[in-house]
Amino acid sequence: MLKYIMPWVFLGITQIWSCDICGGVSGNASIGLFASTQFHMIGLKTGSSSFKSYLHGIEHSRENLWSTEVSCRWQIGKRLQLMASVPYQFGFQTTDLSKACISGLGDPTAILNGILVNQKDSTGRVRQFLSLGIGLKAPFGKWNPKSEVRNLYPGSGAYNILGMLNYTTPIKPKWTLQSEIVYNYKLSDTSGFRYGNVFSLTETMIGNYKWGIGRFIPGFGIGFSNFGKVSVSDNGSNEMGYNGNMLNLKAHLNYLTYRWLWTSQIEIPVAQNVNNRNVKQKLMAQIGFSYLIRKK
Amino acid sequence: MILGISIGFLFACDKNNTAEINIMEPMMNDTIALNDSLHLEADILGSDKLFGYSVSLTHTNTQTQLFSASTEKRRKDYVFHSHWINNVQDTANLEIKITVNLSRSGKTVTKTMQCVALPN
Repeated sequence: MLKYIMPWVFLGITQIWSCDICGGVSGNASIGLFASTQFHMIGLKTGSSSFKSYLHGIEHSRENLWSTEVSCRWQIGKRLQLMASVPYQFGFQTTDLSKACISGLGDPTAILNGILVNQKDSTGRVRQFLSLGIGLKAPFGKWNPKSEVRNLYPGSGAYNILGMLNYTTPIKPKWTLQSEIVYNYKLSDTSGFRYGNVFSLTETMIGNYKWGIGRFIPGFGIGFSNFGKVSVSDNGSNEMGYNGNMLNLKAHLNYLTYRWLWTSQIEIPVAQNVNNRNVKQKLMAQIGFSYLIRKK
Repeated sequence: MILGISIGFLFACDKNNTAEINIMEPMMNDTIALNDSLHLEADILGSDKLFGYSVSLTHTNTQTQLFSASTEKRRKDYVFHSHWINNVQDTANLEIKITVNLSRSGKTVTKTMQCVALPN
């Protein structure tokens, strides 16, 4: 990052940097489309999301976040799943007068998902699946509370507590409907800065077709997210805004074989008003693969 | 002739270009204590596409440039938002200068704002 900032700095006695305009807009965690499956998984996912930030209605900066994460899922008996992931992120910000790039390990997340209902018919097809997950994101990633571009840092410096409810039921012979509610409660970091809580509701139709040596699993969905206000509590709680709502269309293409799961996903915001429309999220895309370990 | 028309059109586009520079912060003669942050915020509204701009912060007592940055991106409007930490050890008169390029031929418009850095 220094190589971008250095041309700005004269005489070695001054510091100047861009302000952080965008306000902690980040996607929520998800159990995913394969919650009702029963194999262990270890995988790698990589994806990108981009933003534009505005000031006085004029484009001020562009942000791009590239994240690659190692994730795994372990089936602890029939009723419990333990999921964990560790991301590595590159954050880029470009303004008219500056460029910044911050990279490093992000905050790891662990989720314990309890399967409350898992009814199957005589062919083994899921009739109803309901799970409740509780997660924790720990502030072990790289972060900097003094940075004006703290949102570019891969870590948030604070614990997050996640609650997730996932319900899946068939709607057609080859299609199921998955409903997922996620609430992400965010605590303050040591400087008193607190990102807003995030609520999200996603409805996804998931197909399942035999194709070649495996199964082709497409998905189409719509997601609503509500981002709470950012606050600072050094001299009493002081809400800073940056809140808003977002409606996304989502598409998934997945291919499942005996040993491998290949995934891809794109999300396109269709309506958003985060930070009074001063932050606009653009296309998000992610691809990944997982190695499956069948339960014995 | 086509070349002549093309060149004529090119210059006709920015011949009467104007820009309004609005410096929101700092205000005239604002004071900044040592280690405090000077918030620089301005927007530039052009009548047509502009040819970039530059921003500088100068210690006018010594004519030392404390900060300078520029862009040649072509846009109709720009917004600028940054911070400078005052670590000047003496009382210093500072001048913020924003210069907007209105045309390829070097026509510019400039706005300045003065403020004072304090040593405590």
